[in-house]
Amino acid sequence: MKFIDTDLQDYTGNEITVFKNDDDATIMEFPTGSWLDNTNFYAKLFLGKCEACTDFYKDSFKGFTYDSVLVAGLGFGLIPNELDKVNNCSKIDVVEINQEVIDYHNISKHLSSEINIIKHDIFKYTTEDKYDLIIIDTVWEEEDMSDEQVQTLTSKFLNTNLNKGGVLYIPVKKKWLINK
Amino acid sequence: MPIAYPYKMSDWYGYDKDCSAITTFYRTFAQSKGSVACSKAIEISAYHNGSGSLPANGDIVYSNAAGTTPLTAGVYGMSTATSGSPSKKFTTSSTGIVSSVFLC
Repeated sequence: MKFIDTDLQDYTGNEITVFKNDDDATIMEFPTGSWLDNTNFYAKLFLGKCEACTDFYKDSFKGFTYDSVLVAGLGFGLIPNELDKVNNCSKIDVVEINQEVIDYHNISKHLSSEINIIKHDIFKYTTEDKYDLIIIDTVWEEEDMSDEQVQTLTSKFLNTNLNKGGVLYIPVKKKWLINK
Repeated sequence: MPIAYPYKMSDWYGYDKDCSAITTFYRTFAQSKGSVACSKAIEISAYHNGSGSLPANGDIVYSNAAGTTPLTAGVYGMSTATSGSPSKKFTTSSTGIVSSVFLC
Protein backbone atom coordinates (compact mmCIF):
# COMPACT_ATOMS: atom_id res chain seq x y z
CA MET A 1 0.00 0.00 0.00
CA LYS A 2 1.58 3.24 -1.13
CA PHE A 3 1.65 6.39 0.91
CA ILE A 4 -0.13 9.58 -0.05
CA ASP A 5 2.62 11.43 -1.86
CA THR A 6 1.91 14.68 -0.09
CA ASP A 7 2.50 12.88 3.23
CA LEU A 8 6.06 12.09 2.16
CA GLN A 9 8.33 15.01 2.91
CA ASP A 10 10.95 16.07 0.42
CA TYR A 11 14.44 15.73 1.85
CA THR A 12 17.99 16.41 0.78
CA GLY A 13 20.78 14.72 2.69
CA ASN A 14 24.17 13.16 2.09
CA GLU A 15 22.95 9.64 1.50
CA ILE A 16 19.40 10.01 0.25
CA THR A 17 17.32 12.57 -1.59
CA VAL A 18 13.55 12.45 -1.58
CA PHE A 19 11.71 14.45 -4.22
CA LYS A 20 8.64 14.54 -6.43
CA ASN A 21 9.15 13.65 -10.08
CA ASP A 22 7.33 15.21 -13.04
CA ASP A 23 4.29 13.06 -12.29
CA ASP A 24 4.29 14.16 -8.63
CA ALA A 25 5.28 10.64 -7.59
CA THR A 26 7.77 10.55 -4.73
CA ILE A 27 11.23 9.16 -5.39
CA MET A 28 13.96 8.24 -2.89
CA GLU A 29 17.31 8.41 -4.64
CA PHE A 30 20.66 7.12 -3.41
CA PRO A 31 24.16 8.36 -4.40
CA THR A 32 24.69 5.22 -6.48
CA GLY A 33 21.85 6.33 -8.75
CA SER A 34 19.59 3.58 -7.43
CA TRP A 35 16.14 4.75 -6.44
CA LEU A 36 12.84 3.67 -4.98
CA ASP A 37 9.41 4.99 -5.82
CA ASN A 38 6.25 5.20 -3.79
CA THR A 39 4.00 2.73 -5.60
CA ASN A 40 1.28 0.24 -4.73
CA PHE A 41 2.91 -2.28 -6.99
CA TYR A 42 6.12 -2.80 -4.99
CA ALA A 43 4.61 -4.35 -1.87
CA LYS A 44 1.89 -6.13 -3.86
CA LEU A 45 4.51 -7.85 -6.01
CA PHE A 46 6.88 -8.83 -3.22
CA LEU A 47 4.09 -9.96 -0.91
CA GLY A 48 2.61 -12.21 -3.60
CA LYS A 49 -0.55 -10.18 -4.19
CA CYS A 50 -0.11 -9.46 -7.88
CA GLU A 51 -1.98 -12.13 -9.86
CA ALA A 52 -0.61 -11.06 -13.22
CA CYS A 53 2.98 -11.00 -11.99
CA THR A 54 5.93 -13.35 -11.97
CA ASP A 55 4.77 -16.77 -10.74
CA PHE A 56 7.46 -17.09 -8.08
CA TYR A 57 6.04 -14.31 -5.93
CA LYS A 58 2.36 -15.23 -6.00
CA ASP A 59 3.00 -18.98 -5.86
CA SER A 60 5.34 -18.73 -2.88
CA PHE A 61 2.70 -17.09 -0.72
CA LYS A 62 -0.11 -19.50 -1.64
CA GLY A 63 -1.37 -21.14 1.56
CA PHE A 64 1.20 -19.36 3.70
CA THR A 65 -0.07 -17.33 6.65
CA TYR A 66 2.00 -15.07 8.87
CA ASP A 67 1.58 -12.59 11.64
CA SER A 68 5.03 -11.63 12.92
CA VAL A 69 7.51 -10.26 10.42
CA LEU A 70 11.08 -9.00 10.38
CA VAL A 71 11.93 -6.87 7.35
CA ALA A 72 15.51 -5.98 6.44
CA GLY A 73 15.62 -2.81 4.36
CA LEU A 74 13.33 0.14 4.96
CA GLY A 75 13.24 2.48 1.96
CA PHE A 76 9.90 4.26 2.05
CA GLY A 77 8.53 1.48 4.25
CA LEU A 78 6.14 0.18 1.59
CA ILE A 79 6.40 -3.46 2.68
CA PRO A 80 6.08 -2.71 6.43
CA ASN A 81 3.14 -0.41 5.68
CA GLU A 82 1.38 -3.15 3.68
CA LEU A 83 2.02 -5.64 6.50
CA ASP A 84 0.62 -3.16 9.01
CA LYS A 85 -2.32 -1.54 7.23
CA VAL A 86 -3.48 -4.36 4.95
CA ASN A 87 -2.25 -7.62 6.52
CA ASN A 88 -2.77 -6.38 10.10
CA CYS A 89 0.37 -8.17 11.27
CA SER A 90 0.76 -7.96 15.03
CA LYS A 91 4.52 -7.59 15.04
CA ILE A 92 6.60 -5.77 12.44
CA ASP A 93 10.29 -5.12 13.07
CA VAL A 94 12.45 -3.42 10.47
CA VAL A 95 16.25 -3.53 10.41
CA GLU A 96 17.81 -0.67 8.44
CA ILE A 97 21.54 -0.03 8.13
CA ASN A 98 21.33 3.56 6.88
CA GLN A 99 20.87 6.09 9.68
CA GLU A 100 19.79 8.78 7.26
CA VAL A 101 16.91 6.63 5.99
CA ILE A 102 15.81 6.23 9.61
CA ASP A 103 16.24 9.96 10.23
CA TYR A 104 14.09 10.66 7.20
CA HIS A 105 11.31 8.52 8.64
CA ASN A 106 11.58 10.32 11.95
CA ILE A 107 11.11 13.62 10.12
CA SER A 108 8.47 12.52 7.64
CA LYS A 109 6.47 10.47 10.17
CA HIS A 110 4.49 8.65 7.49
CA LEU A 111 4.92 5.20 9.03
CA SER A 112 2.83 3.88 11.89
CA SER A 113 4.47 3.94 15.31
CA GLU A 114 3.50 0.27 15.59
CA ILE A 115 6.39 -0.50 13.25
CA ASN A 116 9.60 -0.93 15.19
CA ILE A 117 12.67 0.36 13.34
CA ILE A 118 16.08 -0.94 14.41
CA LYS A 119 19.35 0.59 13.21
CA HIS A 120 21.58 -2.35 12.33
CA ASP A 121 23.30 -4.31 9.61
CA ILE A 122 21.15 -7.38 8.94
CA PHE A 123 24.29 -9.48 8.51
CA LYS A 124 25.37 -8.60 12.06
CA TYR A 125 21.98 -8.26 13.71
CA THR A 126 21.09 -10.80 16.36
CA THR A 127 17.88 -11.18 18.27
CA GLU A 128 16.13 -13.80 20.34
CA ASP A 129 12.78 -12.91 18.76
CA LYS A 130 11.06 -15.39 16.49
CA TYR A 131 9.06 -14.56 13.41
CA ASP A 132 6.76 -16.23 10.90
CA LEU A 133 8.41 -14.39 8.05
CA ILE A 134 11.77 -12.70 7.57
CA ILE A 135 12.01 -10.58 4.42
CA ILE A 136 15.42 -9.49 3.16
CA ASP A 137 14.85 -6.48 0.93
CA THR A 138 18.24 -4.82 1.05
CA VAL A 139 19.42 -5.03 -2.56
CA TRP A 140 18.21 -3.85 -5.94
CA GLU A 141 19.35 -6.63 -8.21
CA GLU A 142 19.97 -10.35 -7.95
CA GLU A 143 23.68 -9.90 -8.57
CA ASP A 144 23.94 -7.43 -5.66
CA MET A 145 23.81 -10.32 -3.19
CA SER A 146 26.21 -13.24 -3.46
CA ASP A 147 25.33 -16.86 -2.81
CA GLU A 148 27.67 -16.69 0.19
CA GLN A 149 25.63 -13.83 1.62
CA VAL A 150 22.45 -15.82 1.11
CA GLN A 151 24.09 -18.71 2.94
CA THR A 152 25.16 -16.38 5.77
CA LEU A 153 21.59 -15.14 6.20
CA THR A 154 20.23 -18.67 6.00
CA SER A 155 22.62 -19.97 8.66
CA LYS A 156 21.91 -16.97 10.83
CA PHE A 157 18.12 -16.84 10.75
CA LEU A 158 16.50 -19.98 9.35
CA ASN A 159 16.65 -22.23 12.38
CA THR A 160 17.19 -19.54 15.00
CA ASN A 161 14.65 -16.80 14.44
CA LEU A 162 11.83 -18.45 12.52
CA ASN A 163 8.87 -20.25 13.98
CA LYS A 164 8.22 -23.77 12.71
CA GLY A 165 7.05 -23.42 9.11
CA GLY A 166 8.33 -19.85 9.03
CA VAL A 167 10.03 -18.50 5.94
CA LEU A 168 13.23 -16.65 5.15
CA TYR A 169 12.33 -14.76 1.98
CA ILE A 170 14.73 -12.88 -0.28
CA PRO A 171 12.50 -11.57 -3.07
CA VAL A 172 15.14 -10.15 -5.39
CA LYS A 173 17.04 -13.47 -5.24
CA LYS A 174 13.78 -15.42 -5.55
CA LYS A 175 14.67 -17.38 -2.41
CA TRP A 176 11.89 -18.86 -0.27
CA LEU A 177 13.46 -20.94 2.49
CA ILE A 178 11.20 -22.75 4.94
CA ASN A 179 12.13 -23.69 8.51
CA LYS A 180 10.83 -27.27 8.39
CA MET B 1 1.36 -14.14 -49.94
CA PRO B 2 2.53 -13.55 -53.55
CA ILE B 3 2.86 -9.94 -54.62
CA ALA B 4 0.75 -8.95 -57.58
CA TYR B 5 1.40 -6.15 -60.01
CA PRO B 6 0.99 -3.25 -59.79
CA TYR B 7 2.60 -2.96 -56.36
CA LYS B 8 0.39 -1.79 -53.56
CA MET B 9 1.64 0.44 -50.77
CA SER B 10 1.11 -2.42 -48.32
CA ASP B 11 3.61 -4.57 -50.26
CA TRP B 12 6.33 -2.34 -48.87
CA TYR B 13 5.30 -2.70 -45.24
CA GLY B 14 8.15 -4.17 -43.22
CA TYR B 15 10.86 -2.89 -45.55
CA ASP B 16 13.48 -0.56 -44.09
CA LYS B 17 12.37 2.77 -45.49
CA ASP B 18 15.11 5.06 -44.24
CA CYS B 19 18.24 2.89 -44.15
CA SER B 20 18.71 3.91 -40.51
CA ALA B 21 20.36 1.51 -38.07
CA ILE B 22 17.64 1.96 -35.48
CA THR B 23 15.66 -1.07 -34.34
CA THR B 24 12.30 -0.86 -32.64
CA PHE B 25 11.53 -2.94 -29.56
CA TYR B 26 9.11 -2.65 -26.68
CA ARG B 27 9.65 -1.86 -23.04
CA THR B 28 8.11 -1.22 -19.66
CA PHE B 29 8.36 2.13 -17.95
CA ALA B 30 11.47 2.61 -15.79
CA GLN B 31 11.39 0.68 -12.53
CA SER B 32 13.43 0.78 -9.36
CA LYS B 33 14.44 -2.88 -9.42
CA GLY B 34 14.88 -5.48 -12.13
CA SER B 35 12.51 -7.91 -10.45
CA VAL B 36 9.84 -5.21 -10.50
CA ALA B 37 10.57 -4.42 -14.16
CA CYS B 38 10.19 -8.11 -15.07
CA SER B 39 6.75 -8.16 -13.46
CA LYS B 40 5.46 -5.08 -15.27
CA ALA B 41 3.65 -5.21 -18.60
CA ILE B 42 5.23 -4.07 -21.85
CA GLU B 43 3.72 -0.68 -22.59
CA ILE B 44 5.72 1.48 -24.94
CA SER B 45 8.06 1.48 -27.95
CA ALA B 46 11.77 2.16 -27.69
CA TYR B 47 14.62 2.10 -30.17
CA HIS B 48 18.24 0.94 -30.13
CA ASN B 49 21.27 1.14 -32.38
CA GLY B 50 22.48 -2.44 -31.92
CA SER B 51 22.38 -5.32 -34.36
CA GLY B 52 19.98 -7.58 -32.46
CA SER B 53 16.24 -7.49 -32.17
CA LEU B 54 16.70 -6.42 -28.54
CA PRO B 55 19.44 -4.16 -27.19
CA ALA B 56 22.65 -5.68 -25.81
CA ASN B 57 25.40 -4.35 -23.55
CA GLY B 58 26.95 -1.19 -25.01
CA ASP B 59 24.06 -0.42 -27.37
CA ILE B 60 22.34 2.93 -27.03
CA VAL B 61 18.63 3.00 -26.35
CA TYR B 62 16.45 5.91 -27.41
CA SER B 63 12.95 7.00 -26.59
CA ASN B 64 12.33 8.37 -30.09
CA ALA B 65 12.56 6.73 -33.51
CA ALA B 66 14.94 9.39 -34.78
CA GLY B 67 17.49 8.20 -32.25
CA THR B 68 18.12 11.63 -30.80
CA THR B 69 16.76 11.27 -27.24
CA PRO B 70 18.53 8.69 -25.05
CA LEU B 71 16.32 6.78 -22.67
CA THR B 72 16.36 7.99 -19.08
CA ALA B 73 18.61 6.03 -16.72
CA GLY B 74 16.87 3.11 -15.06
CA VAL B 75 15.98 -0.53 -15.28
CA TYR B 76 13.38 -1.64 -17.81
CA GLY B 77 11.69 -4.82 -18.97
CA MET B 78 11.85 -5.42 -22.72
CA SER B 79 10.37 -7.62 -25.42
CA THR B 80 10.03 -7.93 -29.18
CA ALA B 81 6.26 -8.15 -28.65
CA THR B 82 4.12 -5.06 -28.28
CA SER B 83 2.43 -6.32 -25.11
CA GLY B 84 2.60 -9.01 -22.45
CA SER B 85 5.45 -9.73 -20.08
CA PRO B 86 9.09 -8.77 -20.66
CA SER B 87 11.48 -11.52 -21.75
CA LYS B 88 14.54 -9.63 -20.51
CA LYS B 89 15.47 -6.64 -18.39
CA PHE B 90 18.09 -4.03 -19.14
CA THR B 91 19.75 -1.16 -17.32
CA THR B 92 20.75 2.13 -18.92
CA SER B 93 22.97 5.00 -17.90
CA SER B 94 21.85 8.61 -18.30
CA THR B 95 23.27 8.59 -21.83
CA GLY B 96 21.09 5.64 -22.81
CA ILE B 97 23.97 3.17 -22.93
CA VAL B 98 22.92 -0.32 -21.91
CA SER B 99 25.07 -1.50 -19.01
CA SER B 100 23.43 -4.84 -18.29
CA VAL B 101 20.96 -7.27 -19.82
CA PHE B 102 19.48 -10.24 -18.00
CA LEU B 103 16.74 -12.73 -18.66
CA CYS B 104 13.55 -12.17 -16.70
